[in-house]
Amino acid sequence: MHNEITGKKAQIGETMTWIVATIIIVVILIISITISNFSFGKNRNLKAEQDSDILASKSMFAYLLASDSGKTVYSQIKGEGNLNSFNGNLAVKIFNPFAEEYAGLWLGVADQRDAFPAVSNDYFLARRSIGENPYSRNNPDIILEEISLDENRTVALVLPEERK
Amino acid sequence: MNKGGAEKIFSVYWFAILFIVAAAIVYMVSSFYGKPYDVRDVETGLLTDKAATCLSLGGYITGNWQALNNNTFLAECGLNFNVEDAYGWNDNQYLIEIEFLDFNSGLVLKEISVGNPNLKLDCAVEDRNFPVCLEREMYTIDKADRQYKIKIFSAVRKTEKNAQ
Repeated sequence: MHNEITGKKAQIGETMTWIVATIIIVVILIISITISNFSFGKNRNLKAEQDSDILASKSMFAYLLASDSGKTVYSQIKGEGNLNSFNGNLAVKIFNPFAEEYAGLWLGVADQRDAFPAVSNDYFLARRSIGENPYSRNNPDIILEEISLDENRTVALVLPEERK
Repeated sequence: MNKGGAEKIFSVYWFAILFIVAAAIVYMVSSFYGKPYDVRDVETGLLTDKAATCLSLGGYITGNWQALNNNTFLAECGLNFNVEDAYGWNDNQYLIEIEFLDFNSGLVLKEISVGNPNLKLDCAVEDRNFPVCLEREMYTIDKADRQYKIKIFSAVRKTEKNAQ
């Protein structure tokens, strides 16, 4: 009689253990399914990493070819070493739409011997408020378009890699 | 007798657990990998870049831009709006609109529209079941130093394949 009761208790105990184990397994599976359904699989937007911007690049070429009094913007910047009133304001007008697309934008004269020491100008550092020398040439997270002025200097257009 | 019965019950229980776990893993994998990648952001970007490359070369607007029209644009720019014969798409999944504007006055000089114009109506809705749209602009000049702004609007639908 005593043995029968002890045996039944043991069976109940073992059964309870497996019921609890089953519940734990099912709960873990439900959590996994929920996570895989709603977290990983939800946003599968493919975004290409951008290391150039074709429209900005083409706009920059056209900007440097534009002329005032028979002198191209390229020649003006090369001769004066910085943006002047004409080409500075023209640059702001041309690149304003890009400044709305990207978190920041800088255009000006840079020295290609160093990482990115830029000659400050009144048209981008002040107006865009993105700080002095905000980007490094070695920074992989920027889009950098540079046109050589001479062996040391370039006209540089700098955009952050990510569009807004 | 009882011990043998319990073992049978346990083996059935183990098979049941094995089946549940296997089914859950299959469900998780299929729910994760079964959803397609949404590549329409990339597609609209590529479409815009391709149009920009076609319309401006080395900073200058393409020589024949005034001759371009809705019928010749795709062939001239090497684009093809044919899509796979699925979901009853009927080659109406793309739209590209080009506006040539005078840079200083903003006057629209020419408009080109190719593809399904109805896609533009749905662009205001930011939902994955609606078309993905992109509007960008660039600056360009011609050989006579006239300045232009080119606005490129592109839209891709293909929701059945990208947003299941």
